[in-house]
Amino acid sequence: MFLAFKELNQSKFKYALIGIIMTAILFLVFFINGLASGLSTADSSSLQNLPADYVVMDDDAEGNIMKSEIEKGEIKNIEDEIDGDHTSPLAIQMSSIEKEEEKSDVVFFALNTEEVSGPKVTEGLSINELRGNEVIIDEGIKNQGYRLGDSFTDTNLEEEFVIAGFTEKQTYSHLPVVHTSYDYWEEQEYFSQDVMNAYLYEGEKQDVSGFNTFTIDETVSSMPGYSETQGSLLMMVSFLFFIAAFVSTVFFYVLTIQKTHQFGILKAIGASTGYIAKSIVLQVILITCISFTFSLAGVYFMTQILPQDMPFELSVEIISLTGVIFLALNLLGSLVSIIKVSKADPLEAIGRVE
Amino acid sequence: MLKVEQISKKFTDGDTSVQVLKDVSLEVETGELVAIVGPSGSGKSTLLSIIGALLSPSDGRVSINKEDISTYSSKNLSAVRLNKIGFIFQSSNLVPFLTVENQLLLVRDMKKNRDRKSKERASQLIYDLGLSHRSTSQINQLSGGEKQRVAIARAFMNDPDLILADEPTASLDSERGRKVVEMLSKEVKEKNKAALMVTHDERMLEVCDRVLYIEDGRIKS
Repeated sequence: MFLAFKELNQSKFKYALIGIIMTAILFLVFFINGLASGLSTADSSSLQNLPADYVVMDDDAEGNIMKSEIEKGEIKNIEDEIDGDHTSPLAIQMSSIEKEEEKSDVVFFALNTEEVSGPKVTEGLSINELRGNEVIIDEGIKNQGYRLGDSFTDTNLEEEFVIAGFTEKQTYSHLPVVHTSYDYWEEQEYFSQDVMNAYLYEGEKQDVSGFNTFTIDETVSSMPGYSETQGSLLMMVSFLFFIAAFVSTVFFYVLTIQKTHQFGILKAIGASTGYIAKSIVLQVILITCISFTFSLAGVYFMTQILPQDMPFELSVEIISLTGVIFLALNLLGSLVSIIKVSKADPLEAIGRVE
Repeated sequence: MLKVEQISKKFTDGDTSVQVLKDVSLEVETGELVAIVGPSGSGKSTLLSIIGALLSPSDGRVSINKEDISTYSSKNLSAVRLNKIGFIFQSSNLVPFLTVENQLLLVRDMKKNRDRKSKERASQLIYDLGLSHRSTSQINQLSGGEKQRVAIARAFMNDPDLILADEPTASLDSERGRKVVEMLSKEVKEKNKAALMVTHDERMLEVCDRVLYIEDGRIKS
């Protein structure tokens, strides 16, 4: 303790630089990670958060929900064969909405609003309480000036809808998703064709002849381009992680091995290897923890100044896992050099080898 | 106090082996400052390293206060260095980032008995060696003589039975060197320690109580 703090205090500048480098490395890891998972979320969160365990699609769609077509007549067969809870048809419609001459692109998800168990709303009415032309919409649309209770016009249908609630993490291909009532659309004959995209249910996996049943994960990874994009992002993030971890481990190794001479002196006057190791471990833990805190503060600051429509998401799991791994590797790096030092001859360090 | 009985040390380098020490025996009593002199390569530093628990002898016994250390493991040896021996090296070998006072406190910290008393003891030692005005200085601000005096103070800090000095005056001019040895001698007498000093500086010998000559690994009387 004594030795560790005195040294940190004496070589403030050196250790501040080391701290800054560690902070920068961790910041980069967290920031790139956050941007990558932000992208993934913006691309697919509406499918990831579908209120269902399984998604039934037609055989030819191969899991691509946009390509899947189920005719209205066939829905009855599926309903008869499947024994699930919170069942609902799902019709997806790309469209544009307009408010005061301002156009925004959105994706309509028409569902059986009385049956489904989600999505969760952050503000306003829950999906089960929707009546008529009321919809709930991803809160990302607020950036375009939409507020609770606002009405907007769909430019294809030229019909009016009212925002009754907001959801979060409900985007498809970076577009906000509008959840609306399937029955209302049918009543008003808004659908141009008598087909829908999928049938949702909660329960055990069941097969329906002529159709395919997919899990949520399968549905998400079958999105066009999703796996390819995620593959590249994962590659970037993991390489960054490995290189950063390697650099930081080697850094602490070199930092410690540099002190061989000093350890020799300490050993010559009677310090045990344990005493030296304790002091090093304390320093590494301190530097890593401080850098970790500063890098998180940096990331938090960045998220505050990032443009609203730049998706960023960082989970507590990733943060804590990264923290633990880096701490472990930094300790490993310095402990390896301590082992080398412990084998070093105190005679050598005091310069009296004969 | 210190008893060295018939120690030998052989170094093997490839297939040639060099006998550095042959049947060396000596004794040092408390209150005594004994010098070992000899030409370079005569084995005097090896002898000091063995007595100082930095090296193990190939043969023979070393006992400090009747405790035989020649068969100790390296872990026990470092405890012996910490508790029984005070070392003064050729180049003072102080820890670069500590102040004078902290150099002394560090030794106590390693022994896990750093407390308020250690601070008093440290300032007393620093005062005894005439370094009071330097106690909060960094090591790199000290002159060579001051560094060696800090090294002497550090050697005394843990109240060891035996003080070993390996050419403590080598990096000093003769006037300062003599002062350092005089201080060492004074401390040894006052605190009733046994001390052994390797030197090849003949001018220092008159300060010592006894002189041993070593040549080709043997003590000459």
